[in-house]
Amino acid sequence: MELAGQSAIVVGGNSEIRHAVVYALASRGANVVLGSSQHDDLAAATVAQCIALAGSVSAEEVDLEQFDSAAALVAATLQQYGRLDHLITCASASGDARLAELTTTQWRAMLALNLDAVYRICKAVLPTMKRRRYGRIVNIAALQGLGGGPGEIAFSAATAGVLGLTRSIAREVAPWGITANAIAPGIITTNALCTRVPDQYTIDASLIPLRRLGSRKKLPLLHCSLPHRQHPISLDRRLP
Amino acid sequence: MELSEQVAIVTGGSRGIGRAVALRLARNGARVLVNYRRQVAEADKVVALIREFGGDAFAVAADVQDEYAVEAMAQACLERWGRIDLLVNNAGMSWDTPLFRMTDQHWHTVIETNLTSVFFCCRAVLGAMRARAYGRIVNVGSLAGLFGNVGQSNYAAAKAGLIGLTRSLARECALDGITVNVVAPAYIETDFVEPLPPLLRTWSIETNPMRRFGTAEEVAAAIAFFGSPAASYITGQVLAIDGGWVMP
Repeated sequence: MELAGQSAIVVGGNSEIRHAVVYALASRGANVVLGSSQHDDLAAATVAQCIALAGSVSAEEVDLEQFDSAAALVAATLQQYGRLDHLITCASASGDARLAELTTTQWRAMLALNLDAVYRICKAVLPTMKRRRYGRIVNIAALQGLGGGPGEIAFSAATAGVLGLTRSIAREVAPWGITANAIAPGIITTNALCTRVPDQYTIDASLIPLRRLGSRKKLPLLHCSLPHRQHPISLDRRLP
Repeated sequence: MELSEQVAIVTGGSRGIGRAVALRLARNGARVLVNYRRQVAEADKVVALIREFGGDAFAVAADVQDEYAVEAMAQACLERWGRIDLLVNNAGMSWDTPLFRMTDQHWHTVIETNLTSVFFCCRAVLGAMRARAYGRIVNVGSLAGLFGNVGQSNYAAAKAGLIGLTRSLARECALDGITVNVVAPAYIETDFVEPLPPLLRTWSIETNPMRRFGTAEEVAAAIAFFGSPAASYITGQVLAIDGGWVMP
């Protein structure tokens, strides 16, 4: 059990990717606290599906618009497991639009969800990681953050912002043995994606050199391996 | 001249890089709206300088964090000149502090000023550019947006976010004759770098292949190129202006 005894906080999204991350960490022995928002019905399902795994999984409500709530999530994790080794944040898409149609409300909601929230939870986990001189932060951004995407102005701004945030954090906390990395997944097969029109699905794959979409089951292997990197100078590595 | 008849908006045009950009574009023949927030005397001086050499310019006060002020600015430009060819999103600020000391106010102020403001400005000019099937948007980013920086997690997030916004918009507008690019300066000799601690200043100069900071005019030259009709097949790009410091 490579992660036995370690503990992790996973936040963000309502996505299958988040589920896959939690599952992968717990099946490798980590105790996982899944920080979920108030109306997050998938969190309970994830907890239920992880019940037989080596590590334990629990869901805690958190409001990442408030720093105090993020800090409370960290405190609850420490109380339960005595340590915090990993933080994994997952981006999640929501209402976005082309620039001409994008409202200020949509813009702010997207930044709050996928950028501001990441800043707050990262800030909240650092004191304990610094004290233990160990920590692994993995922020899952998105390919749109690297290359943009039409109709995804706010999402790409937010996820690109996460890359800048991650790199700054990586530089700031490297002396404490903490690494911060970002992952920028491309198109990953999820149920959400499969509800798109089938034609779109085919076109997407045909544009990719490997001629297939990514698997959400393989994605968490990256998360698990990144936290395990011992390279102290691995400040930031994007894996497209 | 390269930009004859063209109309440019330069945000934060009263000083520093913005001032150099306004002057440069005007010298290349553009009519320039010099946007400023508080520095009315400096903005008027830029306008006066442009008129001195026979150019056309006027100053508009607008806080780029205020979407309505930004819309009004674009409207003022259209009322005066009837077109907008070039937008240079230069206004910005930094408020540095290590992450553990950062407050939500540090975070939001910097994200709003450097990122949300660009969303507002781009949205405000898009219709006018589309109507004429021509446009150049140049966003002033930062090397910190590419590489992060100690004490600048807010600023680096905003400037990195700017790259994401730029690339999405570049893809959206490619068929409309509109290009969107980023220049990413390192340290440039302006008021902006005055508060730099002496040790950091020395280190930044000594580790730079050119052994100096850049000048606002050197950044303006790159912006003028991205903003020219000649740069028609270049979009979604990020150009570091750093004396070869990092060579991304």
